[in-house]
Amino acid sequence: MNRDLYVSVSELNKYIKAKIKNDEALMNVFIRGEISNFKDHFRGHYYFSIKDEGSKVDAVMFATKNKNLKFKPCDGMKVLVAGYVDVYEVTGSYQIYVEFMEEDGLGNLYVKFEQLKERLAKEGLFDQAHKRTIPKLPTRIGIVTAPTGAAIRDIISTIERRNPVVQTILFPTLVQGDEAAESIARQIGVAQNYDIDVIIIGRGGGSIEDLWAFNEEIVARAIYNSRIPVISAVGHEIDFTISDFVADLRAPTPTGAAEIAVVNVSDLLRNVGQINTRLIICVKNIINSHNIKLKALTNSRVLLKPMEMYALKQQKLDNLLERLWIVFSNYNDTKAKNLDSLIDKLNTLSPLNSLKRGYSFTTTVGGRLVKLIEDVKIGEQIAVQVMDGKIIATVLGWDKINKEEER
Amino acid sequence: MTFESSVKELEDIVRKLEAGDVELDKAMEYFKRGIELSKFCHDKLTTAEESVHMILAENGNLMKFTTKG
Repeated sequence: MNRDLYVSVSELNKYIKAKIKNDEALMNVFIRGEISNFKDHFRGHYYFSIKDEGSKVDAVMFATKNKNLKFKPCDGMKVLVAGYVDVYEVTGSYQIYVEFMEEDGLGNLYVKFEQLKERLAKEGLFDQAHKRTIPKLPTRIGIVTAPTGAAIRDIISTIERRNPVVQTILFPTLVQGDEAAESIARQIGVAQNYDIDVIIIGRGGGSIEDLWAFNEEIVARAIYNSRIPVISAVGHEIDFTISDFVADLRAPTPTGAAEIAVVNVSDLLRNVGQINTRLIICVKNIINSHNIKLKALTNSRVLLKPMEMYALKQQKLDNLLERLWIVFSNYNDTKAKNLDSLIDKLNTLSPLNSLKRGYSFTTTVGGRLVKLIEDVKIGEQIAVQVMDGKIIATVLGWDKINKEEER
Repeated sequence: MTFESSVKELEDIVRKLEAGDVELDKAMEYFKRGIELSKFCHDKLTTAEESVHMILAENGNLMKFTTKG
């Protein structure tokens, strides 16, 4: 093991420090980033880090350098710094020795934007529940924008194209510069006094600084407090402004806002026409089906030839009568036949017939029928009935027939 | 009566009629109402109250405004 190969830590750091100190590129560095871990040392030196999304570097700004700063640095502030890189041998860490520092305007706008956005979101200014409904068919639209420029031209021409009967009221404002935000907020407030269905606020595209008024709290609150629904149309398709978040609806461009606010009247007319056609077809169908039912009923034979119904009944009646007649006459015939045979029988049994055949019967003069010898006395007059009259006779005697002999 | 509520009522009526099962008298009643609504909607879309664009002038008055010329 050759100990001579080894150097001390101090020697290493000294070596690196010398390397870095002599690198021209590191003698004058300009970097852009955000301040973090800011410490204002009691001796007046500033110790902090500068970072971006992926990386971080330590920085120091000595009191002699920072005493002329017009602002007080703080965490999160975006800054532009100039200085040199050197190594602090004690810790072996390199850092930037800042000679000049200024605020990064654009970067700070983003910070402000994020901070305001977060604060207003927490306060509920972006809540979906607070969003007002944009009316479908507004008759009057308020426009809060600059009276000159593409935005107002685009909005009005789009409205005229889609619905020529919509009216507009322009509330002219500044849309950029220091007074723009207040001007916009004031005009949103003024618009509340007019009979307006929806307000479009916005402007055409521009740089982030140009659009800045629409990121101001005063504008956000004016939108939030509007009783009239607000469509925000700050002409920047990608970036959202605070106004976009607070507004009831966000349109990508002023033209887009006009398209959202005003429905194409010809579409609506077509729609109403279609419903109307459906209504008429529907009712026609209903009437038709009732007509068919009615026709079927009126065409029924009963209504068409009511006499047929009588004819049928008549026929039935005739038929019944005929049957009755037949039954009745049959009955009569039978009865007549029966009577004849009865009469015949009667004839056969009649005593008159027996008299005809030569038989006779005897009665007393009083008319009492003589059946037995004992019925008469000798010498008594009797009447013998024959076919054509009676013979009066006197009983001379009688001869009793022996019953035994009779047998 | 707004345009939206009229269109909605009109659509409801048509749906009821299309579903069938509506007595003739009731259907005629619906039809009469439907025609009224349809006319109202149509008028609302085509009857031009004067189409004007105004600007709120600095003196607080509304003045005619044009983007042309």
